[in-house]
Amino acid sequence: MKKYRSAPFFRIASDPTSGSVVERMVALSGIYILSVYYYGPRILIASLLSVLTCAAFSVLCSLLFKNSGLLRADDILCSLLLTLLCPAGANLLLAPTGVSIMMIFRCFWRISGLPLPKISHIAVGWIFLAFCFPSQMFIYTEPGSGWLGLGLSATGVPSESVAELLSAGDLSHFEPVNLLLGHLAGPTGATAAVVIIACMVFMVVRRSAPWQVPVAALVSGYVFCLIFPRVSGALPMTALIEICGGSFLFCAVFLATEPGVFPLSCAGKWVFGILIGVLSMLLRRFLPSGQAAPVVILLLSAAAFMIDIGCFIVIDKIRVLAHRRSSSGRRVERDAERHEASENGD
Amino acid sequence: MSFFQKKGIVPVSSPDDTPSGAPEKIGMPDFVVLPLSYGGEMLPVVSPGGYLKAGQPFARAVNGFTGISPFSGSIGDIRGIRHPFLGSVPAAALLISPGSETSREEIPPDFNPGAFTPEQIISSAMVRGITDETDMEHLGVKLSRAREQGAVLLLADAAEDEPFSGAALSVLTANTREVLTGLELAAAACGATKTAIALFMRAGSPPPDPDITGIELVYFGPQYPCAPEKKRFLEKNRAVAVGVQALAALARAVALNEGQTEAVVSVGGNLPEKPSNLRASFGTPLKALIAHCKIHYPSYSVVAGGSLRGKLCSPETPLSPGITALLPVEDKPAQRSTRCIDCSSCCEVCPSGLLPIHIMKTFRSGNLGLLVHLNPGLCTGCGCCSYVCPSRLELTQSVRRAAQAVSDRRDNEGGLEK
Repeated sequence: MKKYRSAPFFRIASDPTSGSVVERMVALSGIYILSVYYYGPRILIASLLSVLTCAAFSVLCSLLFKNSGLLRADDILCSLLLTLLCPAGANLLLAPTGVSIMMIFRCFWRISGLPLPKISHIAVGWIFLAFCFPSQMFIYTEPGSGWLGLGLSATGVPSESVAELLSAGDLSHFEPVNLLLGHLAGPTGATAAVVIIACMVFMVVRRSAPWQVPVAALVSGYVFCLIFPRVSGALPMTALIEICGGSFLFCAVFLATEPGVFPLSCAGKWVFGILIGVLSMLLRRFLPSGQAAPVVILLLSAAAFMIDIGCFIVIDKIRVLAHRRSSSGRRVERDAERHEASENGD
Repeated sequence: MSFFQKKGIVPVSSPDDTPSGAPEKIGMPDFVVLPLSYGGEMLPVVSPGGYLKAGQPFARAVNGFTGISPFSGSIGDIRGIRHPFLGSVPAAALLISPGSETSREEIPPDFNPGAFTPEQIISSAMVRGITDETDMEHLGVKLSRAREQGAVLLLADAAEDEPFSGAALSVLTANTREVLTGLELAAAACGATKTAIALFMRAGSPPPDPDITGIELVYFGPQYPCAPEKKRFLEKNRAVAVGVQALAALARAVALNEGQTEAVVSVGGNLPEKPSNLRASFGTPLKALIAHCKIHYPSYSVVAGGSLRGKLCSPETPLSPGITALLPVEDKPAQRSTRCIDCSSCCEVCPSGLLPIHIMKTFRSGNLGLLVHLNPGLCTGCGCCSYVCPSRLELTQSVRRAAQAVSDRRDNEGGLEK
C-alpha cells in the first residue's frame, strides 16, 4: 500500500496516461499500411518530416524556455493525424507546415504555464493549411495509380473526391467496395472506411477513445443525410457515401476522440457527437471543399466545457423534478395508509 | 463504457488481504482513552482521580444516550484529543485495574424478544450507549425516527463494500443469534413487519452465504459504492438499515443489560502478516490492534474507516464507534499528481453523476457562481473519482472543499437576506 495524502488510500494500480496515446498510434498503423500500399513510401517520408518538425519545436521550446519534457507522445500523434489528413500528392512540406502551426500553438500554452485550451489542435493546423494552401489541400491523387515520387512535389493522376462527386450529383461510376477499401480520391488516410472503423473498434475496446462520440456522430450524420439527401434517389447508399467518404469518418473517429477535445460527461459526449454529425453534414454543403468536419470539431471542442455544464444542469433539473414527484407520491401513499389505519382503528 | 455499466468502481484487491473468519479478542490494554463525546454533544460524569467500574456510565447526552465504560479503573487526566471521526473532543484516560476484564456471556436460550415494548427497547438502546456503526447515529434515535416514519422493513446491514473490510460479515457469521435477536428487537421497536439481511457480493469471490435460514438475504454489489443501490432499495421498500454490530449490541443490552463497549474491526491490507478481524474495547489505541496482526515493517501510517473513505490517523487514536476497518499503509512520501489528461474516467464512475474534474477546475479558478450549478454538495465522498484518476489528482478532496465553499456561500447569502 502506498501512501496518499487523503482518501482514497487505495487506487487503481495501472497508469494508462501514456498507454492511450500508444494505443491510438497502434490503431493508426493499419491506416499507414493501406496508405503505403496505395501511394508508396512518400507518405512515410511526409510523416517523418512532420514528426521531425514536432521534435524540433519541442527541443527549441525546452532549450529557450527551460520547459520540461522534450518530445511528447501526444504531440507525435497529432503530427501523424494531421499528415494523414493532407493529400498524398501534396508538397512534402505541407504537413510539416501545419504541424509547425499546431506546435507553435501548443508550445505557447505550455510555456505560458496556462492550462492548455480544450480545442482540437489538429483542426487548428488543418484549418491553417486549408485557408493558406487550398490548391495543395484539396487536389487529390487517384489511389492505386502507381506509387508517387519522393520529390518535394509529386505528380500523380488527379481524381475527383467523393465530395465533388456528391456535389455534382453523379454517382454512376461509383463502386461501393471502393468506399470501404479506400480506393477513392481523398485525404491520404481518411478514405478506407473499413480500416477506420476497425481502428475505432480497437480504440474503444482498449478504452483509449470514448465510443459515444464517433457512434453519435456517425448515426446523426447518417440520419441527417437520409432526411436531407444531396443526391435524389438511391437514398441509403448516398447517405452511406456521405458519412464514409471524405474526412468525416476519420475526423469523427480520431479528431473528435482526442483527449481534451470532447466533453467529459456521458450526456455531453452524446450531444457533442450528434452536433458533429449534423453540423458537418450541413456545413459541407456550403464549403467549396466539402470538408467541414475539422472546422466543426474545432468550434465544438471550444464549446465542450459549456456542453458539459449545459447537459449537467439539464439532467440535474430533471433528476430533482423526478425525485420531488416520487417523494410526494410516496408521502401521499403513506398518508393514505395512515388515514385508512386510523379509520379502521376508529 | 459507462452507458452499459452501473456507476462506481470494482476495486481490485486480493482476497488474501481481506480478513475473514471469526473475530479474535485482543488482550486487555493497560489503559484506554475514552472520548467523552461521540455521535453528539455529551456531558462527562467522571472527574480526574475518580474510580469507574466496568459497565458504569462515563458521559451522558441530553437525549439520554450514555457512554459505558468497558473496564474498571481509575480516571487519569481529561484532555482534548483530535480524533479522525469525532473531531476535537475531550477524552478521559482510564487506567485499567488488573483483572477487571469480564468474560463474554451468551444470551440465555430462553430469552424472548417479544416480551419487550418498543419504548423499553429504544430506552435500552439509549441507556446502554448503542451507536450504529454504519452512520454513527445513536440507535435509539434512529429507531424512534423509523417508527415515526412508518418503516415496513428492517434491514440488518452487513453490506460492507470497501476493500479489505470483513468485520460485518464476521460478526454476522460468529454472532448470528445475537444479530437475529437484535434484528427482531429493532423491528419491534420501529414497528417494521419484515426483516432482511443486506450482504455485499465482491467481484471475483462467491457471494457470502452466512448459513441463515428463514430470513431474506438481499445482495448488493459488486460495484462500489453500494450506497446508492441500498438507498434506492430502502426508499422502495420503506426500509431502515441498521449495522449488524449495533444489532448484536442491542440484543446484549436488552437481554444482559450490557452496554456497547466494544467493536469488531478488520485489520487488512498487504502489510499485516495475517489480516484479521479483531474484537477490541472502545478506547483501545489503534496501534494495539495493528500490533496484534504483526507488521514487520519499519514505519507505517494507519488509515481508519476503510481504504476508500477512511482517514489517516495517529496509531495512538483510541478506537471509537464507527471504526470497523483499519489499514496500515507504508510510510512513504505522498504520491505525486500530474496534470489532467481529460480521460473523463472520473465523470464516468461518479455514482452521484457529478463532473469531478470540472468541479475541481472551477473551484480552483474561484468561479463560485458556476460552482453552484455543478452541485458539488451531492458528493458522497466515496472516492471513486480519485481511485480511477490516472493522474492521481486529489479529486475527492477538491470536490468536498468545493461543496463546503458552496455551502458557506449559501449560508452567507441566507444571512444577508435575513
